[in-house]
Amino acid sequence: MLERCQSCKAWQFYPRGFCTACGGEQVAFEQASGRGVIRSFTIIRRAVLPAYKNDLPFAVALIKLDEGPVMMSRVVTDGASESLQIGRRVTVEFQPWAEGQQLPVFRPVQTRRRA
Amino acid sequence: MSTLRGRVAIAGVADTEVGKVPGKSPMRLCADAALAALADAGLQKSDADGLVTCNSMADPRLYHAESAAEYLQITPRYCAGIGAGGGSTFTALFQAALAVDAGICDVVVITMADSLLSGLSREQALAVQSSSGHPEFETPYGATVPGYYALIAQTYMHRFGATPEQFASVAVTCRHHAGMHEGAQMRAPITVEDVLASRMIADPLRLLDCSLVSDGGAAVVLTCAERAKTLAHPPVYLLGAGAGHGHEHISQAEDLTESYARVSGARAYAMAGVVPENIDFAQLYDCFTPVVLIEAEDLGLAPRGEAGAFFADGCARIGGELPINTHGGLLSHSHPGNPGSMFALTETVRQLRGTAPANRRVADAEIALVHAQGGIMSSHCTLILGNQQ
Repeated sequence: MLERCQSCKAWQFYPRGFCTACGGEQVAFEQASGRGVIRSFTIIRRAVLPAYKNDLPFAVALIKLDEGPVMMSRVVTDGASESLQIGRRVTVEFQPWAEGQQLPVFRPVQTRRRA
Repeated sequence: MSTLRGRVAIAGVADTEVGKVPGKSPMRLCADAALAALADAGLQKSDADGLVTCNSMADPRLYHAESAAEYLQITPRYCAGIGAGGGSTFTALFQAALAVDAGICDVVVITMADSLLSGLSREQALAVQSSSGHPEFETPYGATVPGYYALIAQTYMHRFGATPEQFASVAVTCRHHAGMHEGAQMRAPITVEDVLASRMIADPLRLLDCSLVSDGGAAVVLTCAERAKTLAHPPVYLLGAGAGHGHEHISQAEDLTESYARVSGARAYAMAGVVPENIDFAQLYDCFTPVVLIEAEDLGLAPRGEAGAFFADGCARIGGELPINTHGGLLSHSHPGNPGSMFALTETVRQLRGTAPANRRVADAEIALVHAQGGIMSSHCTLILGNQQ
């Protein structure tokens, strides 16, 4: 779900409750495609807090959503780290975060073999 | 066209000891630097009627500048705490210059210090720095500050074919300069191989691509040009100043390989009436090695995409085409957090006075550019300083 201005139709992230493009106050959350591309990525090798130590190493990325906005997230690759490339297409999935909360993460889309 | 050019000048400078300085609180370091800078200018504490500081991370105060004034026992008529991350230093000077020029105060001390090495545990230091991420939309993913900058570095490599070796040459250059600076925290020379062998923090940034964690502080005294001419040293004039703010959080950046240093630089050049070719040496904010390359390009000091080769070819070394970070920078002189680029400022003043030690003096230096940035290449301030009004 991504915030979208109901008058100028611009998508925006993160949500503000008003449109930063046209100033309109009629915004609503709409279902987004969940798809985008890797704008940039890195592999974190040192944890900022002890809670993240078990996740090391993990990939943090900037994802440019097909709708336009960019968001930070993680890329989950199940070990296929060669799929971490700028421009690689990804799709969202949701992982449990805290009590009753989920965090969006992104997985590289399987590329088809060319004949 | 602004008339600030040449109207205010730096009349005094001072650095504290840097590195591991456990015996003095950040506030004490702040005060020591302030008093030493006033003495350097040939002024008394009672002459200071303006005070600018930034908050300490190791020993924060709700109202830091006001607390520093109390600590020093002065009662300024202009008192401001600047909170712009690494850009606090030059943003502070820019705003203080406006206050002096407007007649709000006559003698401003800008003093900043922190104790990131002795005053915080490693976990605390990491946590404090990572609090710059957006609490809801960035922090949960667990990236560190090097991680945020690594996103910039990866894009720069992808777009321009820059190599880890070129990034490393920035670190090697700064360490080479720190080796010539008696006060620098890290002075032993390093090679590109040493940088590439250091442990990976967040791909592609390795330990030696990252700035130091330090204790220390520095101060400058700013006054109007005419007053500065009567004081202890030849004035160093503020010729140009400019700021630019594009984003705060990296996930909201318009562009990952061009920053608002471009606009802050353009504004500073315009005020000074100079062009990049007039710059004799520059101090560029070096929290991480790739940042220096982007800043050099944004500021017109190297062609877009070519700053890596500039450093790798040795052009940024003292004696080279355009010396950069002549004191060793945040990478090798010291980095006590928000105050970090104060040392770039005091070094620049000494160079322009002609009093930098001979082994690292920039010959015939007249005009310098200093640049600081805060956040994740978010907010920028460029100053142009010169020894001719």
